[in-house]
Order: sequence, then C-alpha cells, then structure tokens
Amino acid sequence: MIRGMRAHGIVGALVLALGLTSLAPIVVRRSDAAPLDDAALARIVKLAPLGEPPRDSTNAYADDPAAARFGQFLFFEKRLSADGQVSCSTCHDPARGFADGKTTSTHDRHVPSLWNVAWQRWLFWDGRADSLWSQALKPLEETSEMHSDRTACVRVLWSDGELRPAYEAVFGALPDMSDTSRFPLHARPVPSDPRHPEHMAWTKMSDADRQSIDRAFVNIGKAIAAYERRLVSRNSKFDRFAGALKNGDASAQAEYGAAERRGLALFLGKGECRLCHAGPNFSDNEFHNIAVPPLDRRPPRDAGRHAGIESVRTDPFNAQSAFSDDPRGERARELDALTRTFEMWGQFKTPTLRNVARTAPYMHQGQMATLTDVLRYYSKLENAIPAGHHNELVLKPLDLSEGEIADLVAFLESLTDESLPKELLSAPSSPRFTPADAEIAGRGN
Amino acid sequence: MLLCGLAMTACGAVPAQQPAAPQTDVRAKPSDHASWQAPLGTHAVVSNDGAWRIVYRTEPDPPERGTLFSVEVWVCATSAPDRPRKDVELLVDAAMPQHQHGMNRVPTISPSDSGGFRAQGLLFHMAGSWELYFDVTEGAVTERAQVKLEVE
Repeated sequence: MIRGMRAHGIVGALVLALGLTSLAPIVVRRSDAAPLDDAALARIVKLAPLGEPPRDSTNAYADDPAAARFGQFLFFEKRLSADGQVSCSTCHDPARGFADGKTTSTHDRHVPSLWNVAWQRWLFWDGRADSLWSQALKPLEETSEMHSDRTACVRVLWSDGELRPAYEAVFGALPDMSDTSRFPLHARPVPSDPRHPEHMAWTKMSDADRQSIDRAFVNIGKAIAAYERRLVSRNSKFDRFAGALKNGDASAQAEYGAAERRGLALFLGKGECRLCHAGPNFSDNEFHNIAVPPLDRRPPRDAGRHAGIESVRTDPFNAQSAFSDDPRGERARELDALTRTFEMWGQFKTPTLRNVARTAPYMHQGQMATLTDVLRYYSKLENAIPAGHHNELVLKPLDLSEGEIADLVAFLESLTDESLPKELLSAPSSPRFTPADAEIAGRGN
Repeated sequence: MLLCGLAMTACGAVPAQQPAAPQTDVRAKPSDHASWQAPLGTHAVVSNDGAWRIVYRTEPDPPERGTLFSVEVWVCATSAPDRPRKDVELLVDAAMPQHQHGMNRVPTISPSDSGGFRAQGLLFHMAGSWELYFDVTEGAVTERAQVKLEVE
C-alpha cells in the first residue's frame, strides 16, 4: 500500500500508509549509502518509541515507587546471601550492562542483562519463570548463587532497624520471628532432598508460619521486580532517528550515519534479524535454537526451553499461584496453553538488542566475545550443531561481507542508551521512599 | 495449499472471554439455530474437500505479533450454511510453513455462547507468513480449512 510513494528527494509522505494519526508528513532523507526502501521505512517507524513497560497484573506493587525503592535497596543487599558476600548486583552489575561480562556463571549459562527486563514474557534463558518477581526469588535460594533460604531472608528484614519499617510501610506487618522454635534460623523447602536440614526444618513449621514466610519472601521478589522494571533503555540514536522520520525532521535524520542506515537495512532485509528480534524491544520474547555449539564444544546437554516449560508450570510462585495478584489473568492462562515439543530441546530465549553493544559476551553461554563474532556466525553458521530434523529453517547462512557485518555492528551500536538516572545505579542510602525520591522514580520510567 | 472462499467483512463486536476447557472435550448437541447468519466482522473459508464452511473471527482482528489472541468459530455444512454445528470436533492451530514450525502454544477450545466454538491461547511469536488451521472431524473423517495471515 505504500508503493507509488517513492520520493527520491527529501519528502515522502507516508502518513496514510503507516496508519499514523498525526498529520505531520514523514520526511525521508535518502542517499545512495542508505538504501532504506518504503517497506523498510514502514517497519522502522514501528520500532520506536518503545513506550511504557507492559503492566504486570501478577504484581500489585510493580509500579509502586516505595516498593521500587525498597527493592533497589535489596538488589544491592549482600546480607540476603548465605555468606554475606553476594547480592543481585554482583552478577547484574550496573557497570557491566546489568550483567557480569563473563561467559558462564550459574547453571553453566551466561548472566543475561536486565536492561528492559520488564518487557520479557518469560524469564531466564529457558523461561522457567513467568514473572519478574518470581524470577528474582530463585537466585536467593540457588546454591550456586546466593545460597540463602527464604526464612533467613525474611529474618534479615525483620531484624534490621531500617529494613523492617521500610518493608512494613509497603507490604504490612512481617511475622514476629522472635520465637526460633517457630521460625528456625534456616528453613526452606528442598523437595529433591527430603533429608536436607533446611527442608526438615521447613516441614516442622506450621502451615500458617510457612505461609507467612512465603508471603514475605514473595514480597521481596515483588519489590526487586518493581526496581528492575525501571531499568529502561529507549532513547538510543536509533530511537531519535525513527522519531525524526515520523516528525519529518531532516536535520535530526542526518545525525544517523550511513553505516548505521546500511546496517538497519540489512537488519530489516537480507539479514531477516527482525523475525526474532522483533518489535520495539527487539525481541519476540520466545525461544529458538540457533545451533550455537556449547562453550566446551562437547555435544549439547542443556535442554533449554524444553526443561523450562515444566519448571514454570510447576513453579509454586508462578502466575497461577496463590502468591500471584492475578491468578486467573492473562499471564496465568498462558500457562494452560504452553506445550512441550521435541523442537524445544536446546531452544533459548531471544534477548533484547537494546544496549546489546554493552552486554558482551553473547549467546546463552557467552560463546561469542563480540558482535562481530555473532554476525560472522550468522553469516556462515560455522560449527553450527547439526540439528537433524529439529532445525529452524529460518536459520540459514546469511553470507555477509565484512563490510555488511561492520554495518550491522554500527546499527546495533546505535541501539545503545544507558542514560538511566545515576540514582538507580547503586544502593540508595535508605530503603525508605521519601517524597524527594518521587522525581527520581519518575525519571526512571 | 488451498485457500477457498475467504470472505472479509467489517469488524464486529468483541465477544466476552470464556473459561478455557480441554481441547478434546468439545462435543455437544446439534445447534437449534433455525436460521443463522454469520455475525458482522467475521470471515469465512470452505474446507479443502468442500464439506464445511468455517466462519470465524479473531480477537483482535487481525492478530498482532506477540499478543495472545482468540478465535471464535462457527462450523456449518456447506449444504446447510445457516445451521452451525456443534456435534463435530474442531481443532484450531497455526504454523509458519516456510519455517516449518508452529506456535509455542496449544489453543484450548470450548463451546461458545453464540453457538460455535472459541479457541483461546493462540500467539504468533514471529513476523511473517502464518497459516491458521481449522480441522473439523465428523465420525472418522477429518477435513481441514486454512487461511493465510501475514504478520508484521
């Protein structure tokens, strides 16, 4: 429908073609170095702006500034780990794109960035959590991560003169944990090891006490999620270019370089990158097997999404659980529609490309050190795992020249925006939200 | 691939959502509708061997990439297009033939209040060419109808 509107000069009025309500004409600056055709332009303007994070109906505190402030404090709080040496920020380091820059960490997988994590439908590389808050709970008890237990985590809050009132101001009263015969120092369910001391301690607690601990533990996750929802990147050079296209601002369009434009054209065209890295957050939020060999070059052993589906279905903190604030909502219903197929073995989640230039290395085990390495892989599929009959047909060698690879890297670098308020990059001085913090929270959005 | 009798009309009202039911439990008595007309905003397609006329509408229409959608479906014999049938088994699914993969979800299907079926939990996760399938089974015979949908 946008054929016949080819404007080889400055102006190409795509308003009707793109279904925009604004009457402002789209001014398209073109040059031989930037072969963005009408189809590409129509797609570009749909990739920005990113908009607000999607609502999370499973977390009633998702957009509560006081919960976010409390969660930010907890995000940097090392006392939530067993040895007092590890916090969420240890692996999700703000200075490293909210990741750790290493190839692998826990579960023999690469630590994913938290940029724009609010847009993700499934969490972890295998999607074994279906909300940001339930994801945040897992590392607290994971033996290879913070190795704490839910009862000890809640006790950290209960016993601290600052944390306890900050928690209770948002979520209400914590359980009185003064009686250690009711609330042991360490207790959690370990269903895989019924003789585990913490599991035995957990089973000796009353149902009511276990529920009170679970509820407070879940609130820790909901607070951390409220903070993580503010880690938003959406004002990149690319966003400004897309905005300039919509507004007809030719001088602003000119800020976007020739290599970036060529890379963008490849991203949308020959590369077909957009098929999986779709939409304004450059991810389809789903799972694919792109046949990348494991880091150790041995046969693949990580089941990825195939295992993640069963985990999320049985997660006691999933969107259908009693701890969800919308157990019959859309997120909850999605669990009913999930299916597990052979093709899902070895599939991993499509990451966002926003700030991708700041979150090396790449792939689920950090197998590739640079974006150039990633694009060379897509170009030749060298060493790709023979996939037999379970391959993704969309995966085919792109046969990119070194120049095209450089252009795609230039485009990917143009998706960089780390302009988060500095107040969100470190532990706040207090877990309590004050009126003065309102402006910061607003800017974080 | 056959694409039979795809008719497009203006959008109609958005029906209320119904609780999901197991996909295999969709048999019901024949409809009592004496003279039924396809609701506004529906599309229609005839199955590949011509036995069935499938009237359907997606919500939203058209489906959007990355967004859950549902499909309300009425199944009529082509010889009696004004009598929706509920005594048949209906399966609804979708796939990307070029990629040789389907959705990552299995829709749940239940009878709808309007004399048809409702498939819920569908999601097109990738941009490109999708096909939406309607498999109607009566007795031992299954017949398929399909429509193409381009998703951006």
